[in-house]
Amino acid sequence: MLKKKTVRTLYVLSSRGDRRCTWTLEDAEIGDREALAAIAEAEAIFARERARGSSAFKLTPGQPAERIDTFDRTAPEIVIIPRMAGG
Amino acid sequence: MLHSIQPRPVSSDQSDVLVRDELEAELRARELWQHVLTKKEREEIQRRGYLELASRIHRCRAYRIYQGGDRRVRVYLKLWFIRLFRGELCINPVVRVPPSDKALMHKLQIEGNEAEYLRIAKFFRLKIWLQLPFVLESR
Repeated sequence: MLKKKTVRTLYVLSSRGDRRCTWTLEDAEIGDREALAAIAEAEAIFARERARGSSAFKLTPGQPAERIDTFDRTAPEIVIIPRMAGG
Repeated sequence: MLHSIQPRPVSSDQSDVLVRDELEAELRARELWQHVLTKKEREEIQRRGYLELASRIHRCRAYRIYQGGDRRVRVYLKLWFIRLFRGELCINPVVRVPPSDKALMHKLQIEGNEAEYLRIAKFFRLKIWLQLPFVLESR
C-alpha cells in the first residue's frame, strides 16, 4: 500500500507577506534529491532567521503553537516571525 | 557646506507599485491567517471581530487579538461569563509586516511563548478604580 505523502511548509513572515519553503518528508526518506535539497534550504533559512533574533513556532493541527529553537523537519508547519519589541 | 536631505520624489507609477505590493502582501498574510485558525476561531472572529485566547500561565486571564492586527492586544480578567478589562499590551514587530501577519504573530507568541511575550510587552494597565464603573464587559 502506498504511504500518504504530506507536504511540510516553512513560512517566513516579512514585509512582503510570507516566503514559503516546502518539502515532503517521505520523499526525503527514500533519498529524493529535490526533497533533500528543500530540507537543506529550509534548515539554512531557519538558522539564518534565528540568528537575526526571529522566533520559530511549530504548528500541529488541533494543538496550540509551540516555540522551537531547532529545526524540526517532521513538523507539519513552521512559522518564523520577526523579533518583537515593546512600545 | 551642509546640504539638506530631500526625500526622493516617488512617481505615480512607483507609488502604484508600492500600493500593489502592500495589497498583495496583505492578501498573502490574510490567507495564512485564515489557514492557521481553526474553524471555531474563524467563526469567533467573524462574529466578534476579535480572537480570544486564554492565558496558559495566568489563571483567569484572557487576551483579545483584533482582526486586522491594527489594534493593541487587550488583557481581560476572566470571571465565568464576564470579562473585566485590565489593560492593553504594546508590542510590535521590529520590521513592518502586513496587518494580518501582525495578528498572527500575537497569536503564536501568546500560545507558544507567553512568558517572554509579556516580558517584552509594555503593559498599559488600567487603574482599578477606573475599571469598576464602565469597563465591565459581558461576553
